[in-house]
Amino acid sequence: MVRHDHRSRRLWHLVLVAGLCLAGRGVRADTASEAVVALRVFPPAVQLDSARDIQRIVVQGERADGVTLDLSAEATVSVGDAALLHVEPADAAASWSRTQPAQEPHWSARGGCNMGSCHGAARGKDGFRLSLFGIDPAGDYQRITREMPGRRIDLGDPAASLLVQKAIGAVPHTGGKRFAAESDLACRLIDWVAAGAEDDPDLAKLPALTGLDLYPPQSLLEGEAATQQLVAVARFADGTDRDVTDLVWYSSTNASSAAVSADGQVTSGRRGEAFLMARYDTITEGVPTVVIPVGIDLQFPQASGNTWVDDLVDAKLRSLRITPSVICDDETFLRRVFLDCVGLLPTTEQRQAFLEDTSPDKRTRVIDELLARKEFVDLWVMKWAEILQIRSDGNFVSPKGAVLYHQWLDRRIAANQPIDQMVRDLVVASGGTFENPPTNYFQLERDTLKLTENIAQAFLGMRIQCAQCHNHPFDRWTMDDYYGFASFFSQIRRKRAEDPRETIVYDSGGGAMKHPVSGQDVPPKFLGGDVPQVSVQDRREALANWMVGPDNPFFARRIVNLVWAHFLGRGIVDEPDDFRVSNPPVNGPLLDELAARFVASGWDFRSLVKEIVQSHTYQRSSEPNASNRLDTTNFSHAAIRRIRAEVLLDTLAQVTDTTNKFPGLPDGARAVQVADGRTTNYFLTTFGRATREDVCSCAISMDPSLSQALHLLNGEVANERIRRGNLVGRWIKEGLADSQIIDRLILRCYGRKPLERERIELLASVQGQPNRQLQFEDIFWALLNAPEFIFNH
Amino acid sequence: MPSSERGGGFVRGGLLLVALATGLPAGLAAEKPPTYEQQVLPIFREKCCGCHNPGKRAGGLDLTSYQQLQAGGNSGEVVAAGDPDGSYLWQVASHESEPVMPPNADRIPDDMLAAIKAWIVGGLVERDGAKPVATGPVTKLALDPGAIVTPEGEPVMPPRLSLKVVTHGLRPTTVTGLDASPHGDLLAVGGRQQVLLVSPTTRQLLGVLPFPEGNCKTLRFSRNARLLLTAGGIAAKRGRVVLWDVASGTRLAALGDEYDEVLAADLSADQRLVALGGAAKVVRLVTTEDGQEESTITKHTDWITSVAFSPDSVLLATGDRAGNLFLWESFGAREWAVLKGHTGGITAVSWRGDGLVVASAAEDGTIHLWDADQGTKIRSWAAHAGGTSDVRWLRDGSLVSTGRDCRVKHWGGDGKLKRDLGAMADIGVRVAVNDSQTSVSASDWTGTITVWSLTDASQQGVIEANPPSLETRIAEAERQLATARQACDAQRAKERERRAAAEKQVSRSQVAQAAAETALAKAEAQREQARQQVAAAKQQLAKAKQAVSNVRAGEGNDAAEEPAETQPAAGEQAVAAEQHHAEAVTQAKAQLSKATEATKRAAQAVQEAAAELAKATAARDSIIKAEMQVSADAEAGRTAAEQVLTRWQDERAFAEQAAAQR
Repeated sequence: MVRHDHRSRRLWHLVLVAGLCLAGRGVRADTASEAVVALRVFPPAVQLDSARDIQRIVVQGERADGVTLDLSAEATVSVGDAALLHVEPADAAASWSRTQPAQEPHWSARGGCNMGSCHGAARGKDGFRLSLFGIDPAGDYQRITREMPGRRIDLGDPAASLLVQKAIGAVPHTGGKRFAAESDLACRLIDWVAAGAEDDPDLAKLPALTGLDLYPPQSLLEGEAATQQLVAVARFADGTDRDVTDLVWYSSTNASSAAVSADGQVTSGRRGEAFLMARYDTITEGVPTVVIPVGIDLQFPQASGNTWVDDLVDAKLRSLRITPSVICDDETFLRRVFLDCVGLLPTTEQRQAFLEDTSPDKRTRVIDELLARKEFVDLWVMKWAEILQIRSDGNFVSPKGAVLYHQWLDRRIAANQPIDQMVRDLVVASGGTFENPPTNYFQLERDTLKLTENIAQAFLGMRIQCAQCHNHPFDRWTMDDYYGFASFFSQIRRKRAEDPRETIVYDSGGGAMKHPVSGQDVPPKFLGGDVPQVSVQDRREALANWMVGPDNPFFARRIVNLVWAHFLGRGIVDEPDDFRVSNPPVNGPLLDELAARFVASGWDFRSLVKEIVQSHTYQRSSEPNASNRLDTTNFSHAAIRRIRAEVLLDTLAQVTDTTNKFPGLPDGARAVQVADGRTTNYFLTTFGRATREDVCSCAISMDPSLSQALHLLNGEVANERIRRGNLVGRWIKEGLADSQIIDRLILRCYGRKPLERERIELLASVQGQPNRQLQFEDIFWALLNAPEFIFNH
Repeated sequence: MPSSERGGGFVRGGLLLVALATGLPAGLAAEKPPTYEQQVLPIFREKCCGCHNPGKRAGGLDLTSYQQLQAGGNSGEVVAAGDPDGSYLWQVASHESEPVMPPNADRIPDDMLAAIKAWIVGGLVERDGAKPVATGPVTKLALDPGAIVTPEGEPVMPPRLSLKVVTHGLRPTTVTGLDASPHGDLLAVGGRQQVLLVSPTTRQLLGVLPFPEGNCKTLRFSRNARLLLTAGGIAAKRGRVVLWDVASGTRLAALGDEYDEVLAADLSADQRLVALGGAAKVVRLVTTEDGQEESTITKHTDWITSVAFSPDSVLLATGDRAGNLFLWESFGAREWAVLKGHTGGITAVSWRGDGLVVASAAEDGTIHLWDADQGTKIRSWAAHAGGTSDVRWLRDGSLVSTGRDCRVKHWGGDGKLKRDLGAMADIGVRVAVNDSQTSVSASDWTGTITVWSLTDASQQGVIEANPPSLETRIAEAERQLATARQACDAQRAKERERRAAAEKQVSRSQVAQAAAETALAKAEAQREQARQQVAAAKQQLAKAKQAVSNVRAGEGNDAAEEPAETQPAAGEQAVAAEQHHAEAVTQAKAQLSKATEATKRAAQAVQEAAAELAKATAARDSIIKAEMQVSADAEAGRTAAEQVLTRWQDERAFAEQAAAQR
């Protein structure tokens, strides 16, 4: 802890020097890797704003193998000018009273009292209500002091106040003991009551909280019970800061790997990753922590990957001491890349040609071929149509409007129009829904607040819904942010066009968004950004410029994450449209680099896909090894994914040589090509096709279910198609032998030759059967019902 | 809900009214009453439906359809057939009751009002040919003074009690337990582990009753003033009710065993039952005899905030924090009536002395009056913005209340404001009316208890709700005494000093006077001497003149006889002598007039010195008198301080003695 020793009000920016005497430490391990190769002091700069200001500091050492150690206790810290400042041992903090008493009591947040499950619930708890996360301090003050006069606080005997007695667990409390009787929080509460339990009228005049820093920025802890102290510093609008290490509310996303105490002490547990978060007032910040076992023998293959994508993925895997799986074989690769890029299975001929190709770049060439195909466009038009929610909608969007909207999208994806331009055109779209189809987007969601939420989620990956009613509990978004963002859409108006099926969407140039708490007009404000100077006309124009502009950290990341999730089965941020402070990317550098390159490429969608598909990370086998068996998040092996509804139906049609018929589309059209989200059939619905009524990526169900299995087993899909396609019949007519038919069936369904055991058993099963066709069709049916067909592996 | 009989078969006023109202011959209503559709709706459309329409539904009320009108608004039904005074709509439209309607506008014209009234009286007929709604009993708000039972005999006052406080807080804390004795100049004030007995008239502390059970949240004197119920406990830990005998100041019984403090409790007038409730949402009826739970009321959905027995012990009113208000039969706890109307938590219930009307206060800011027999609302009005905290009946059928607007108000029994007694420093919590019905004591959030006169609304003073310990009082008295002694001594010294100074001034004046008199005597002597000198000079002159005339005569007769050369020489000598003496006379006269002047001055000086002396003497006398008075006052102050000290020392001795006896 650094403490100011001078009665002046000047600010002191310090450079702290930490030294370490290694000889005096109780050294745990025995190897040379114990040697600390780097020493860091956090916070990197200390600013003391008054003679009473303090700042805790932590010293983190790093070993050659990347493991970090909390050396705060062992290190000697000195300052340049000891006359101005001095450094004290950590336990001296207890007796130190602090400045800025007006920002008390944060006890309510720190004690967890105002959480949604406790007194922060809409109806409170056990007769006592606080505003959720303290967004209404004035109301909280009234409720604490005056709602039940004479019950919650005792001016005559402050320590006997029920508020204190409950919090310290001195009387029965459903929420249990929140903090100790002798804790700083309890003392502060008692002091506040003792001073007359007065409200702080100047709360609004205090400098606003602008940021929260949590240190150290990352930790790699080895073994169980290793510790690391966190330090939190709040920054304010007037340039001051404050050590809030003992005032923030800590939480861990994975307490079994890294638990964090109420004082910010991290303790390692089982092997794994955790994101440690601290919340102060409206701001949540977090730092990643990795826990690895002691003495792991990492057998990392030299140059496991071949692209920068692999380098970044491997860097994370190395820190986790995980060995990636090997590269998958050509058959697996071909099936995977076909399903992912064009939504079809490779034909027997395509497979044969690929296997016979011996050139080293044959995978790259296949990728290039696939990206040039019309089916690639179809697949991605479908993906984007989900995001843009393309569908007809009763009286508001006619089927014609939906089709035009779909065509508009299709042309852009086919032309590989830069994504930023496409989204920009959509966000600013005005005019008739037939004449300028992207205006349908604003016709599909006519509620301004819902539209706001949809745009934030679809294009920025932000789920800001919570902030409509209260500050987002696990993210940075406040109600002010929410309504400031909604204000961009507050002037959208709609009117009938000549054609009754068409609507004209336009900006009226008038109309404001009102803040539900203050009742004031809220000017447009970018999420986490500035308040732009907008004239009445160009609110959406300003928004679009910001969204696709270089300052926007969200848009490019959201898009690359979406694409990554499609190919790897899981986003770098998961769910792919749920970016938030408390849901950090599993590999930040990878996400950043993907986004940077995507922007640098001129938002070239195909090149982004190629970067991903070319990487070994994409091409790894789904077979895990000993070290990555439990890993599901860091892309150390391929994920086994159920094939999504539309593609599954198309591949079923493909392997059975049958066609599909959808309303408004010619016979033989693929499910992927369906324009209107409302068009569906029983199969698609059962397998979780998105209705496109909800922007959320979770609306597309990829989970297997019993009804899916039963539908495939007993429904008309498999049996009926096998009969309709009559492949077996044709082959028997051609005079193919039993083993040839078995080969063809397995090749057709699984893209591989049958295993020897499969062949023997299948042959045995047809041997001596009276109806050969029926028997082979049964085998066909069995193959279609096997996981190997339904899953992309 | 109303049954023809309740409890032990009481026949009450309301039942008679039912009989009368339904027994009216139909022919008496000769004139056709107005109908909703023809007469009333047009009035509503013009004056009310701008807000009370299906879209806005201000106050939850829609007047545009007969069904909606009958359904009422947020505060319950708005019309009672045949009873305009009991109809909320009439009360606010006629500006009898707050909030007046239409808001911020003149009252609607009298002919319209008359039509509305006639429509209500006529039974709320919907349209021509429709039947009138069965008329309920007409509410009689008037109080029959004879129905009030006042305690008889000598006022019940406690004996001398220990003034030793159990606790003394850092500062006063909110007082929620406050009640005045119905027979005796006695006010009970709840505190932490103690109950203070205070005289509302002198505002002096009369005694401290220890309440080791915890905080005393509720206090109730029995109807005969003989018992005092104290209830409370430790929040979220335990709750108890303790009964005291006022006349002896002794504990009689401890009842109830709650797991949170008792928030509300009352003692039935027959002293057989105690009702208590709190955060458990349950009202328990326990017998005073053995503390056994006789019955339980579990219908409440939130904390019990107020309970009160009717003056005849037959009914019990209970209210909770969710706004539920019920009447129960005390015996067996059977439901008597559900009093629907409050939209905020109930904070207080109070029975009018005749037991016919219940008043309730709630966080919705209103006071409601209920017909206890029928279970119907008689009247309601907005009393305190933000919430009404307490309401109490006076014996004359008026009410006092306090609330979150920090004010204490005195209302007529019809809900009309008689007087706004004034404001307190923070939100009002409890009120109590003293036995003589002349003053109201009201507590606020800061723990201050202010006493207001009901006759002239003057503030009579403040009751110390956080009295210091006897030790502190003694120390303070000792300090006061020391100060008084010091003042006394200082005054004595000052008196001596000033007296001496005055005496000195007098003697100084006496000396001056003597000197003046001496000077006068001297001057007079000098004048006498001068006078003699003048006389002598005159004599000499006369002689000289004689000599001159002698010489002149000698010249005429004896010129031949005397030698010529001697005669002229003698004449010249005589004339010169005459001239010399004439000058001497002139000189002597001048001396005399000087001496006379000096004498005059000396005489004046003597006069002045005498006046000076008289002044000094008078001044001395007045100083002596004044200083003696001041000294006497100081002495009196000292004596008073001595008496105060003695009193508190005596109180301490008494307290120690009392403690030793216990």
